[in-house]
Amino acid sequence: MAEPLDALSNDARMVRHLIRGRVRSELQYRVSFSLFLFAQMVVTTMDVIAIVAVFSKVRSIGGWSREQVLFLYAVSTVGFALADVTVSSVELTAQWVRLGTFDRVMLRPAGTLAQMLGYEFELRRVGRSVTPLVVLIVTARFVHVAWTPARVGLVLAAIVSSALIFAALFVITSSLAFWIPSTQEVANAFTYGSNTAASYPTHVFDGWLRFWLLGPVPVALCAYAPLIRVLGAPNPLGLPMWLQLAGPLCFVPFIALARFVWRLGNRHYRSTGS
Amino acid sequence: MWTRLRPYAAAARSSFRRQSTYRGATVAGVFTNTVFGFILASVLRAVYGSRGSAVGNLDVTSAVTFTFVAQGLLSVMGAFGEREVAERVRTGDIATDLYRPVSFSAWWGSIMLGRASFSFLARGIPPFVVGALVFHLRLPDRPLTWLTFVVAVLLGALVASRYWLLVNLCAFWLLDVRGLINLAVVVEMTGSGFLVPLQFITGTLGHLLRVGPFATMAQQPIEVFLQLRSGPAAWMPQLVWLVALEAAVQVVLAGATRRVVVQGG
Repeated sequence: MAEPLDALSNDARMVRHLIRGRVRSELQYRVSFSLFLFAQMVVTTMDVIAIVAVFSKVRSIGGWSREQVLFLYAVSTVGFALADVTVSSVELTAQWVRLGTFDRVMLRPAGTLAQMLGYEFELRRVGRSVTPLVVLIVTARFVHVAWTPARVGLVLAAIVSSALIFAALFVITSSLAFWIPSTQEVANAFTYGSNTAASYPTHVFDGWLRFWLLGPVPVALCAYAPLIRVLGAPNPLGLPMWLQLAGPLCFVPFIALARFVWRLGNRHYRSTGS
Repeated sequence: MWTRLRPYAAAARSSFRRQSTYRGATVAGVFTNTVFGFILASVLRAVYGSRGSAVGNLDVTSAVTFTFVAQGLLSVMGAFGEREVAERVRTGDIATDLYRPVSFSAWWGSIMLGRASFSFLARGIPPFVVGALVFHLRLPDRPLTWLTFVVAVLLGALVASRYWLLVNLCAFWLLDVRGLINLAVVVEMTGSGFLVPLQFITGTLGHLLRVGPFATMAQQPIEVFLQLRSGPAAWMPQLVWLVALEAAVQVVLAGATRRVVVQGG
């Protein structure tokens, strides 16, 4: 039992070191850093612009008001942004595999995933969470909810759960690089696409998209399901009460799957041979 | 005349060929565009579902068609930002480009156009076809519309190439243009109709965007496709913006080349 725990604390210590180094080097170029931070902030406002534009023509979408949709967007996207800043550097695996530099990761006495997260960590990605955070705080006052500790807890669970499932998605899609190079755009459909889809009430989708969001990549269970309960919003799909409460737990199998696929990919890795 | 045009044709052709070698990336891009088309089309259908009437001159079928044409045009217009020229400024490779006995702006225009032509064929058509299999889409009923649409897309791509060139040339003054390019992407995505059809943006802002340069990249060609706008009338604003942006490129380029210092030269 002591061994995996030791490995974990070893990894944690190393990631901490790597991240500290990365942040220090990033902050050497302050203007560049703040420009990028600002740019990341601006890019995420696009989704808000789209939602607000659409709601200038209707009072509700699928029975959800503008404030409710914005709140859903914010919960899901804060989660996405958390995953983005902490885990999305794993997307560079494709490049490392192609160049053969992944050898370096394999040779060092620490977890490969932990190393990937540390080597390419970028603090400036934090910019992505600013817009959804502001929207979250502002709309929380306009959704007509009496904020009890239980409701706040469920919202936090939805955010953490979204973050973990998107983190798992980043790892799973990046692991594919061990088998097929240049899969970045397909990965985007899963990560960014799921984020966009999770920003709207799931019942506006039908067919395979709805199935997808509730089943294979259940991002809807992370945020949409608990928010039905919290916001008292219309529930045309009739998601049962237990699912609204337990939905945020759906990340658990995904973390396990991400771990499994990453390890499988590591085993499949062959160096470039040079 | 032909001998003078030959290098540009060669640049366009080889850029088309280069783009066509990224087969995996093309398939992946089509997949992503199609998925996003489905997501956005579903949202728009829900919007029309609770509204029950057209938004401006856009009914639900037109709006869904709009979405799928727009997804196909994203890569044609380089909607997520072109960075190559700025990268060449940073590394200094731009000196080679400026040496060439051709017009810098037309040279890069040809390269971007070659890429755009490949994107139009390989990434523009498939998402639309898949969308048409699932949703009810509106096809032009006049054969001539197809032709005017292609011309409008071509003009849009030319305006887009001027726009990205202009943004990239800022690298001569800024060390790091990534922030600026991201900003340029947001403005262009919002102003062009790629984000939402401009019919959804009300008031003065909507009005300004409809006559602005970005509408030439998506909104106007798509309105031609939907037969909301006849071809030649749609080309006029595109031509005006093309001339205006090309003039701006020339001015910026004149200032930029004075700043070039070639190492060891």
